[in-house]
Amino acid sequence: MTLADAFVHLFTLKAFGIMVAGVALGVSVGVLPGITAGMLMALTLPFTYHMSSIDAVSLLIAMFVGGVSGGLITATLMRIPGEPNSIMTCLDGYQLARRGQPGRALGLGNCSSLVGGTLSWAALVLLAPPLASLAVAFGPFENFAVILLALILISSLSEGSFLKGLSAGLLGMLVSYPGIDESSGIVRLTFGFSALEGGFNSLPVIVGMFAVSQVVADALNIEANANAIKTTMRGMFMSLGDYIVHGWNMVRSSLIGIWIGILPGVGATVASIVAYTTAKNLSRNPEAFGTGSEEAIVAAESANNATTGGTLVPILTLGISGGLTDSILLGALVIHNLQPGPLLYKNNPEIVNTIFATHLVAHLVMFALMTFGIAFFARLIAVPRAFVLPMVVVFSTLGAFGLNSRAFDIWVMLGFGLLGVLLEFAKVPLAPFVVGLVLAPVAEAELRAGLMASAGSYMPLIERPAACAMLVLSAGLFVWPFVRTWRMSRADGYGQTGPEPKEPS
Amino acid sequence: MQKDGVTRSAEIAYIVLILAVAGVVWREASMLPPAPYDPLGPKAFPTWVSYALAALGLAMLVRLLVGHSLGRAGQAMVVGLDDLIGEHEPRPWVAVLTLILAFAYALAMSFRSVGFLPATAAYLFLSGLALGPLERRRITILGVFAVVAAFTLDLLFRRIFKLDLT
Repeated sequence: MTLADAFVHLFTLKAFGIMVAGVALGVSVGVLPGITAGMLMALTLPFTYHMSSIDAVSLLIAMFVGGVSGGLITATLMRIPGEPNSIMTCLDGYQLARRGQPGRALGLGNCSSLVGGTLSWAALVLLAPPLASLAVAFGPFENFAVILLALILISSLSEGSFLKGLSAGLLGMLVSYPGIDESSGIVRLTFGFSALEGGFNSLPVIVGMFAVSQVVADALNIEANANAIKTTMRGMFMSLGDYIVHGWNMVRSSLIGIWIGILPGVGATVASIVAYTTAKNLSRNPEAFGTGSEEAIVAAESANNATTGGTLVPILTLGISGGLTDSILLGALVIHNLQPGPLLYKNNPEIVNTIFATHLVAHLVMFALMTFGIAFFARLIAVPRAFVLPMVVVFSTLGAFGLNSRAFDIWVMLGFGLLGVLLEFAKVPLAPFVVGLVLAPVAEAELRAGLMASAGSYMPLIERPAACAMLVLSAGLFVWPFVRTWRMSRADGYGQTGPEPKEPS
Repeated sequence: MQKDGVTRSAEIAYIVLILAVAGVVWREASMLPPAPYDPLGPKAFPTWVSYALAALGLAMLVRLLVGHSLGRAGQAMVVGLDDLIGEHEPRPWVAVLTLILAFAYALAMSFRSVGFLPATAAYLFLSGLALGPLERRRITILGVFAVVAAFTLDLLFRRIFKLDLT
């Protein structure tokens, strides 16, 4: 299936229906404060089991795009980020809406999202194939080094503590080991439980970590409510003049979003903050930022949608993920017996082209849905969480149980839900956990294949230039946070206790 | 301040957890037999990862004991805790009750003693009650919603998707 075929397939009734449903659901959860696209995708994973791989991938990509975009509505009308990446839109979108222009604020955000998404699609289609053709020359040692690098990158680049991020990644790796060792056939780490002989299925683990912990977080904050500003379709379109005025800002912010999207573990929230700050620094009217600036809305929304294409690049070229939603996408590919990474181009080009085609069409559908359905989506904000949250638990339970009709999976889901709550309270990032969980079996298989080829020698890890370079980079990234902390604490120490500099005479 | 106290307690619990997991996995992995034709064997990765996890756990413990901060995930993956605390009164008992009801629902689904339809209707109703004020109109709406949703889910998952639910 070529890219053109993928577009044609996408416009068949069933495929188009699935994609529109995915975008609509994504936008809806983006609108609902506290319910994220990542959670929706985790909840949907079990149900994609019964779908073809093409439909499943298309649905999840559509949800991903819809979810990133939907947060704009809540941010603008309620000043609450429907999705974490809408945080910067809260600042100016809400102010513009309060000044009586909610349609204008939403229209600017929506059009910018479309531009950001379309540019990121172009980057995805142009960048991913050449990078994948480079990566296909990698052997097992290089693949192992790439996974090691991914795990350290996501831990060191994720905002917050490197120690916490890396430990979460290692914990995720350990969760993937129980069960039958594929190479030797030996049953390991079952602790005497026969139910563990098949290992932890990654689905209940992911659903529990994200959905159950989310429900608990929302129940804790159940009192958090705000009144939404009412809106209509008026002002939802940008004029040609608007595009001319904001064009460079859109392109610059989109490029920032694409680049940050490619980096593992950084994500759309950081992209929108960087694009917002850049726009403010370069603006002729920086004092307007925070008071309803149109430039600010354009920058934040172009950037967060532009990350959607960027985040898909490492999945398709190296088989690694860097954030929450793309980790779930990566997990979905594995669940459907597809090998993410450069070989996906060779073995399953129909999946790659479906991803490309869906990414673009989903942005167009998102634009149309958000423009013409804005009044409906704005009403979703008022749906009480007392109705939504218990339904999330029911769907999580059904999703976990439906996989193998095993009650054990329900308990796994709840157990990992508790772990998710603990990690959330301890401010430990969840994305490295999922990356560890999904990539650990691949890392083990690659190293084993390499050792078998080298008669048990680890030397190719050092002798092969690409593998060695990635190991050195991993080591550098591992050491850097400690060096940085030590230098900062030394500087602080001098600042507090060091001698005062003498005044020049 | 109270928020920092909760984070600190959760960090200690997290460190204890990862040290315990590392210890248990290391012990279990050390008892595995070697694989004759496999250069890596089934215990290599679990053992290495448990060593690394234990080292990180100890490093975090030392940092905590000497009074250093462990840092925090700046962007919470789950919206709610970070973004909203401070603007309203958190309700820890509602969160605990929600968890208890989720476990009760899982119990009912596991032992199949109640049946999917009544268990789901009861769970949706009771959880809805826990998550909001007890007003007569709201309770009526919740009751209707719980029954309709349970029937719809039963139809969808048991009759159409043919899930083995009783």
